[in-house]
Amino acid sequence: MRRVAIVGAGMTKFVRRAHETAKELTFEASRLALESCGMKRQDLGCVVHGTAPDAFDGFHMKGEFLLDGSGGFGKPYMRCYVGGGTGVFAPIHGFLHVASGLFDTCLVVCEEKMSSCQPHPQGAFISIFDHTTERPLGPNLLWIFALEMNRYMSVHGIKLEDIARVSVKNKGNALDHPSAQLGEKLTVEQVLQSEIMAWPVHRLMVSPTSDGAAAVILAAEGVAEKLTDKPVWIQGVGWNLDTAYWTNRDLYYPEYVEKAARMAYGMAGIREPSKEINFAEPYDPFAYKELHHMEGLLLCGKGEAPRLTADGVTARTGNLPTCPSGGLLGVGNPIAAAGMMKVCELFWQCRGEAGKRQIPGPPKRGVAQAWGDLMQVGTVLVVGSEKPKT
Amino acid sequence: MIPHVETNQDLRAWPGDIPVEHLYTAGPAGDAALRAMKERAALLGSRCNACAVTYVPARYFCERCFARLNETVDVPARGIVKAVAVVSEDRDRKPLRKPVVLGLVALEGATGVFLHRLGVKKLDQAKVGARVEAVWKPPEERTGSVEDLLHFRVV
Repeated sequence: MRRVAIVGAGMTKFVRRAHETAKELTFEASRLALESCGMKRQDLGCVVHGTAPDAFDGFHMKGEFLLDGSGGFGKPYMRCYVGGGTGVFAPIHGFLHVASGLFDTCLVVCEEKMSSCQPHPQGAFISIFDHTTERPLGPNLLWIFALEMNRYMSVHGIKLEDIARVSVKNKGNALDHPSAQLGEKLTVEQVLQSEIMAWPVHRLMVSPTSDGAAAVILAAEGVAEKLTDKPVWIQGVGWNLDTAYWTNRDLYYPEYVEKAARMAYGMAGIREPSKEINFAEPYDPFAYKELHHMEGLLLCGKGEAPRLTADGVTARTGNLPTCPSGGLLGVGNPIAAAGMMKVCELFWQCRGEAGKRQIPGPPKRGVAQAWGDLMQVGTVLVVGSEKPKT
Repeated sequence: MIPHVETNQDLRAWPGDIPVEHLYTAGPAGDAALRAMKERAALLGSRCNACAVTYVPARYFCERCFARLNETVDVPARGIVKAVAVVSEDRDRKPLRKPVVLGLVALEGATGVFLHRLGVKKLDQAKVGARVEAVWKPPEERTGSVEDLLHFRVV
């Protein structure tokens, strides 16, 4: 396999309802990513597109529909999709396209326009559940995440305050992100006093629905160095899916995230993730998920993530900053684009270009992770300023 | 061993749907094109000089060179029929009371063709090569939709 670097990145502002169409959002993110490394659409070897359920935007064959905005007209083009995990799955696909030697460059763009879906995108989720055993009960995502959150808290004796701290940190971090939808200075008390949507999930522990797009440009070794003097190298990729029978496993721990992480770390030569990784963008559609995923990513022991958060270790100035971008809780959650926003953040942080969000250093190595489907997929990407050995 | 059910009537089934509706924004270029239909009974296109392409209706960007398109042009709402289809059944195979005649019309000055209904008294008028022009709804009935254009009639 060839070495592959990220050489450019761009994203739109994340908003509740964009005036722009899905195609236009995709175009803006793609254009910004191309401009960031001085490339033209015509220079691209191939395009990978990532987007979540067609039911959000309300177009079947959304990948094909968004071809023009993705810069894929007349090019080798591919859409990939694993629910919420798509935003990190798509750059893994882009990596494979380039690492294989088939293409020298690849634009990877992720988009979601959830506001099209009425009255609320939750309606699209009813049909992800088993039609015989679960759908008659009318489940939605808030339900099942309330169950998972409760299970996680019960096993480790975690308090609601521990969860609320993640909302405070991430929404606070998002105040420094120019594309953020919901940056806010909050206290733990304010989070705990917010409306209970499905106990123990409170309103301010949930990411919003959003419209937006984000993109990166990948290039092979030898090409990347000509496009930028600061390539950010992809050091490891991993993905893994657990059974769709989500009631047949213990939800307190995401084993599939661990398996995906071990795959990526093995490739990157990482033996002690908590020491060898400088910062992380774990997937945080709900506040508890950041903690859950830090544990799955082996950045700490099981049940230890709340302590790290309370001690400030995961703050931007701490030893292991998590979601310096502001995460999905703060920047917003246009599903596939939200995962890609995390990959963009890794790129900007490693290059020292994150502005007010910059982690001191700049950091040498970061990990981004996304999660989705029926609480069953983990997608992991490790990047850094150092070129991987193999 | 799973018992095999011989007749469909013995199968237990669950009805279900995906309960969503959609509200689509037209975007900046789409808004302008729809306003032109409603307010001026006009077809608005976007010109990309670099690619020598005129998109109808107007677009926000050129999918070829990836430039933002700022130049809009009024495209005459007349042209030549390039393909015809006469639809006589609905999608459930029920016969339509009156056939729907669809045409792809090459508009003067536009790239590609424009899809709409052809308004003809006799089916044999709907022919490839026929010259057609747009028939618009009266101003008070126009809402800012491709349906503001009633159909193309043969001239």
